[in-house]
Amino acid sequence: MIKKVLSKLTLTILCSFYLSISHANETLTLSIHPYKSATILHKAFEPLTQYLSSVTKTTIQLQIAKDYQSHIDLIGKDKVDIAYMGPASYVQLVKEYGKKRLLTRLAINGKPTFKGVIVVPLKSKITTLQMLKNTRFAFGNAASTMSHLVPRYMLLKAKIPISKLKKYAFLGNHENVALAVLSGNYDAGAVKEEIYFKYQSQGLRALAETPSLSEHLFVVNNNLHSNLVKKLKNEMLNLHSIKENILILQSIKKTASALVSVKDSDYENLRNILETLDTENK
Amino acid sequence: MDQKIVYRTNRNIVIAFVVTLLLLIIIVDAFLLNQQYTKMQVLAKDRTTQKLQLATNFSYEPILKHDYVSVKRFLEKWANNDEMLISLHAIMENGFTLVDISKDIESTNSITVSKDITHENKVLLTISATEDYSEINDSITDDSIILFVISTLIVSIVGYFLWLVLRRTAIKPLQLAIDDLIQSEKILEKRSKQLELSNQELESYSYSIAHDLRTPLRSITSFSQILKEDSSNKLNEEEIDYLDRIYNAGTFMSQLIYDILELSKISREEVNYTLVNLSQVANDILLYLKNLWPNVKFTFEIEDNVFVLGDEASLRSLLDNLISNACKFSSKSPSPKIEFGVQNRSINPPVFYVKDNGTGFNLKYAEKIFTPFHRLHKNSQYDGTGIGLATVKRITEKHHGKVWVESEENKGATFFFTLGNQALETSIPKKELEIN
Repeated sequence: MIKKVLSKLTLTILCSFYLSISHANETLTLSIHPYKSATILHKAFEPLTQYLSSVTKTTIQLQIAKDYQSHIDLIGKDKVDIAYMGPASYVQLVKEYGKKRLLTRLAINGKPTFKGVIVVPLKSKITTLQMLKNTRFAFGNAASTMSHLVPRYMLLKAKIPISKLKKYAFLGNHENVALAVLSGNYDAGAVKEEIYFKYQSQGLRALAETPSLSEHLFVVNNNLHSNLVKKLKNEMLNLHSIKENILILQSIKKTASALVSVKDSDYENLRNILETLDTENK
Repeated sequence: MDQKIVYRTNRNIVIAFVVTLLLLIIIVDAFLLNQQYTKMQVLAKDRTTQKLQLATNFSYEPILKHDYVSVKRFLEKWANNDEMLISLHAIMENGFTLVDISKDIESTNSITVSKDITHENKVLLTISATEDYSEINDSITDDSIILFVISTLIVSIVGYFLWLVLRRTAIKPLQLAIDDLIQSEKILEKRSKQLELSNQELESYSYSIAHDLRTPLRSITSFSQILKEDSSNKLNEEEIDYLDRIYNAGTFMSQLIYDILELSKISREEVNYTLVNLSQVANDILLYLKNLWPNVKFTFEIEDNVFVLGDEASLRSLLDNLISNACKFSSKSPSPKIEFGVQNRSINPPVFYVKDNGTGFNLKYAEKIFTPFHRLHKNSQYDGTGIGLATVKRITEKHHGKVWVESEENKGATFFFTLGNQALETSIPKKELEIN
């Protein structure tokens, strides 16, 4: 009996030791979707990877995905351990590979959601979405949630499919959209709220606001040990409680204030929007 | 004293030379600096234009693709890295300011260049860059100081050597010539004083002789007259004729002495200027002259209100001589006419004239008649001493004027005279008269 108890205890201790050893020796990969250049992204996420490596006693390596789809595939096929992704990419991921375990999402200035704005010049005669018919419309990136997908959904709801626009173009980023509208080369455009506020004083007017969408999030693959996931999640959630760690978040985004809890349903409204757009495209 | 004058003259020459040289150098320096400044400004503008050209070249493609952010970032980066750039503005076609950068830099010299980015004849973006070229002003200031110092040095050295050369080649001989001239002037002045003294002595001697001669002469004429009256019944006609000749010669000599004394007096005495009514003087003279030729019917034309500034006694003598001559030489004319007046009142000095229609004379003797004792007629024809016109000449000269004559034989003569510069007054109350 004593032998049995001793052998079980020894086994438990050995298992625990093994697990801790195995975590310590494990190398995790954090994949980032390529929304900026690789150099900038490396610099931005380096403090977080270092921090998480030290607190979890694992080695976390950064990897910048080749493109958005590759990024979805990598995490979908569990080829990377952690992925930092945009809301639209996450919806796409779930759609293609099913639900994944979620770590945290980003909170900007205390808010884990963000909005976009459809903007027109201050002196524009356009006052409703319906009036955008037959106008020149500027989008940001084709894959961008706030500078393309959601505004396009809003146009659709206002019965303006892009075919009813006089002209439209993808100008690459939100700022180009704002400047294109300000310079008079486009009658309207879609930008995230942050860009709207930046250029509002220079002559931009908000025509309509998009619904609030959940912010960017960290996803983990299905194979990662639950203890480690739990550890990672806890460390991430508590990151902002130490004043110095705010810099880690601000390195990712200047206005980032915390990493907060996230669940799949937070992205439900976006999922609906994207499905509607898919239907329209079909 | 003379040495000092020469020294001052030399010093003034050197100062004038150095000042001229300095002015010339300043003008040349200013011209050179201006040229340098213009050249530097052109180069600076070219430099800014080249930079702007690069910026527009870079911005062309992104602007066409509506990649404003790239353009904005590029221009902002340029502005941040280029210390010379004071302001940078990028204005879109509709007037929207894409980039508006103004640095807080004080500039004493800035250059602004603008360039358009155009596509299919449409201006998409206008970029204006202003760069600080205060360094040009600083450089020109430094250059001007250096140039001024070098120029001053050159002027000093060149001026010094030129002065040495000038002193050896020109100023020294000039100084000697000036010395000679001053010496000559001194001798001349001394001789002039001696001459003046001699003249005074001579005049005084003449006056004394003339004066002393009058007393014995008076005795000769008086006693010859008494002898004739007392012994007329004892003397034959020939002896009486001799006595008359003695008397006439004595009287002539007495008149001659009187005239010489008058001439001498005029020469010696100062002119006492008063306002003189020459018309009145002429009329006074005519009154007594008429009595000398009781059988001749003269016609006189005297211009009224001829007032002049002059010595009244002298002017009376002047008119007396001229009008007496006129009467004398026209007394044998069938209808003698004497005129006095002013030729033209508006000219200065005014020209006065005394005209007669008498015998006149050949103008080749015109100069001679004003010299003492020179006469054109014999005493048997017209009596006289030959002193009158010399006296007239002396009086006009004393009044800073002159006398001349126009005449033709048997057609009369006109004597013109001036009395120095003066506005001819027609009537001035004597109370208001001021004589300087």
